[in-house]
Amino acid sequence: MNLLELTLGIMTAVGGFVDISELVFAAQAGSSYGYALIWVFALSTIGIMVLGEMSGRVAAVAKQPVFNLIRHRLGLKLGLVTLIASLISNLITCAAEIGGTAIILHLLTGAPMMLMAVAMMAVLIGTIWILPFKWIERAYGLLGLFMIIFAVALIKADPPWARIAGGFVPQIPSGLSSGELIRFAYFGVAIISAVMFPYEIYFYSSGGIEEEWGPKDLPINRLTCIVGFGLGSLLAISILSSSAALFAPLHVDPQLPGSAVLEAELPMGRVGLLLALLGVLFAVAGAAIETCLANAYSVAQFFGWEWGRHKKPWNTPRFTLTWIALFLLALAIVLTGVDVMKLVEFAVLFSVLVLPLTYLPLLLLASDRHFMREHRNGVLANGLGWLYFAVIVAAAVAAVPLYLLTSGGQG
Amino acid sequence: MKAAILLILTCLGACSSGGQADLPAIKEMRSAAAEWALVNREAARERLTAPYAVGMRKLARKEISTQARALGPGSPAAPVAAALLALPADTAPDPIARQVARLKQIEAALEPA
Repeated sequence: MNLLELTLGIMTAVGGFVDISELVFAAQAGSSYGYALIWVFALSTIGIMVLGEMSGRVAAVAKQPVFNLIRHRLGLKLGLVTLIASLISNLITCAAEIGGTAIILHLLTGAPMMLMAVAMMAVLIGTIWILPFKWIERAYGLLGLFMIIFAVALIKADPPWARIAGGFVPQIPSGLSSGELIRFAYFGVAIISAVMFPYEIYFYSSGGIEEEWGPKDLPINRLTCIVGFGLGSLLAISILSSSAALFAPLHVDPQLPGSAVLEAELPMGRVGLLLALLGVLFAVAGAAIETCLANAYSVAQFFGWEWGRHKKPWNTPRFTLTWIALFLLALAIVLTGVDVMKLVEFAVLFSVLVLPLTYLPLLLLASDRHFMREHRNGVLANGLGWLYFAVIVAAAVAAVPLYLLTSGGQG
Repeated sequence: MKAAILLILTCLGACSSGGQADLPAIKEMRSAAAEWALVNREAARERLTAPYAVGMRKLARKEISTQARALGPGSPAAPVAAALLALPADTAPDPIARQVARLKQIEAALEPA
């Protein structure tokens, strides 16, 4: 792989990092708690770097995508439970992303939202059908780089940089009421879930198999995870910080998916607004493709079907039918008129419940001497892997009570 | 186990007692109204595109209307919601901001210590 390929890979990871859940929770976290939740983004980003790198390494060395591992390591029954929970979680996430793109297209063009949802669906299906895997990922990842406007807008807004830097230090704001403390904890769990969505790992590791990674690609895998995810996370932190600086004084806790783009408009005017709308559109559309393909990969890998976008669609008929059916199901959910923000909340809630079952088999195989040989986890990767496993187990246990206690982050 | 269940039920009860049950709806309504005021302020400065301004106003008003229906009977926020929904979509930002301030006061009064 040459320097150009490496740069494209990293840029793709940056542009594809933010999805609708991160957009919503980053903006709400900033307006509600200032810079106090930045550290949760930073902590979760290190987690997705660790687990993403591990899943890429396992794909490259053991040639095993995540759902193969889940079935073999957890057994058929628990594997099936994980599969069903993942399918539900990814389907809701996919519907939320499609609903999000429909809203953004509506705000860009004025055309009816439902019509935009159907049009977007047609574009997404066409994209997956026509483009080779590498370019599916790159097209949306690179176009998602319009999201950099949020970082530029933050610089132009001239926020209190010292307070932003202070946000990287783990903290709980003082003076919160008991209700606010519970809500703060809910946002913490939601951010962990949104950053460490399981679909990202299914998609990333399956992509490694699609692109026929081998041990020679391990340095690229590591760089993509660390640099790509790290820079992508800075975009999410920019959204949070702009929200704290610009929205909080106006009593805005962004409830509408189109509100976050005002963070770019306020310091940069109409150009900022348009670039932000385009960035969100492509980033969220890319996430819709990732969630849908991740679901189809999971089903195909679990049942041992032929799969992969490196093959012609008609050579993998069950895989192809699965991703098309999943897209149509997600569209059907959107067409019921359900509130996209509610979908985002449910997506985050379901995902955090699935996270431990996703990461346990991965951790076990990445440490397995027989499969991974000299590429198995070292002391650092193992330590970080188990530390993050403990974090996501705690988040999974706390998620439902926190959701109920806060009425989905409002109470 | 019993103690944990009791704790959760107590917290749930505390969260939803009396007017506090309206708090989530009031917060969502206040934020949607604040977003609407912001959109109208920026639109008046000709910094927004027409589809964006029209679309955001529609979404904000829909959200206010949805949350108004979720309020309990006799909620102090109900007249504010009615006042907001009586305003034209492209009204000046100040009348909306005044209702936002009223909702913020109601929130503060209902917020548990």
